[in-house]
Amino acid sequence: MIRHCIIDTNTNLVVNIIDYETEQTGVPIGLEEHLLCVKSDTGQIGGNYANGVIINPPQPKLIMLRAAL
Amino acid sequence: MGDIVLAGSTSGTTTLTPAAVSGTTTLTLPATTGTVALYANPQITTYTSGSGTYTTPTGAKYLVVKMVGGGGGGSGGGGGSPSTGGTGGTTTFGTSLLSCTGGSSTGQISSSQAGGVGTVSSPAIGYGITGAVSAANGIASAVASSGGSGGASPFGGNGFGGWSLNAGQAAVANSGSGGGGGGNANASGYIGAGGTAGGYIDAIITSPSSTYSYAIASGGTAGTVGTTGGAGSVGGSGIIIVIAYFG
Repeated sequence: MIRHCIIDTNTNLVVNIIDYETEQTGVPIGLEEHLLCVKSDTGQIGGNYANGVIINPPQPKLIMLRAAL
Repeated sequence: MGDIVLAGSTSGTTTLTPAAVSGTTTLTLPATTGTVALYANPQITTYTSGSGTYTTPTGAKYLVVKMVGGGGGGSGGGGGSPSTGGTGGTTTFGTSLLSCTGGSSTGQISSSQAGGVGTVSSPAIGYGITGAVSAANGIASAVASSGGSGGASPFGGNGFGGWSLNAGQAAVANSGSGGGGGGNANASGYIGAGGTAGGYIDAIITSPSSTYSYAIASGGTAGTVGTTGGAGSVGGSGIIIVIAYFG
């Protein structure tokens, strides 16, 4: 499977992650015309797409809770 | 009792045969114009990846759809800076009709986890279940502890947390369950949380449209390991099962 980010071209944000059996380009099969399919192993939902590069949103703040003894 | 034989307009015949039982039975035809449908087995279509268009089979009276979003990836464990597992994708059926968002991960074990959400919109009817959160498998000490197991979707297949230096177990593909968190063997470290499960939907679509778009979510990515711990593992991808009924 090949991991792809689905970009909303109205906002340039990653709105979904879909695996395809083969590499896809352009509008994802069967989906709306304003979406764009981009191969990416690391892009995350909420990432910003510009100039062929996906910049992921900051990771959520880690919540450190040590287990009780 | 005898048969009624209808001659075809060009060739062949259709024979109406009464049941071989005593008594009187009545066959009442519908007071509408159309073709009388005989019983047919349900037609099951399963999508496990990609996107595309589902075409409703001719004669289908209603559709039952079961689907799940992508499971969250398990987070890494250990000291230093292990990374958080990625959020799973969203599984969709139809435009703004059925949607199952993906599970996520909070990094380390915490009480603020959230599973994916299943949303059923009209004219579909049914229910959505929010994905289960990660089980906290951490034991007494932060040293040599097990990462959290991923949350399980109704399809099962969640990944177990890794012990000590071991990575968490990947969730089963197309389960929509969370991946396991990485273990910890660092006195200053933390175990990784498992990914939460994607949202789940069980819905019925009466009077179905001729086509529906669909997309199958990817599972969330695995969190990387910190210092002296284990990496997280990937979440399970989504799935859509469409059952078309003709009777």
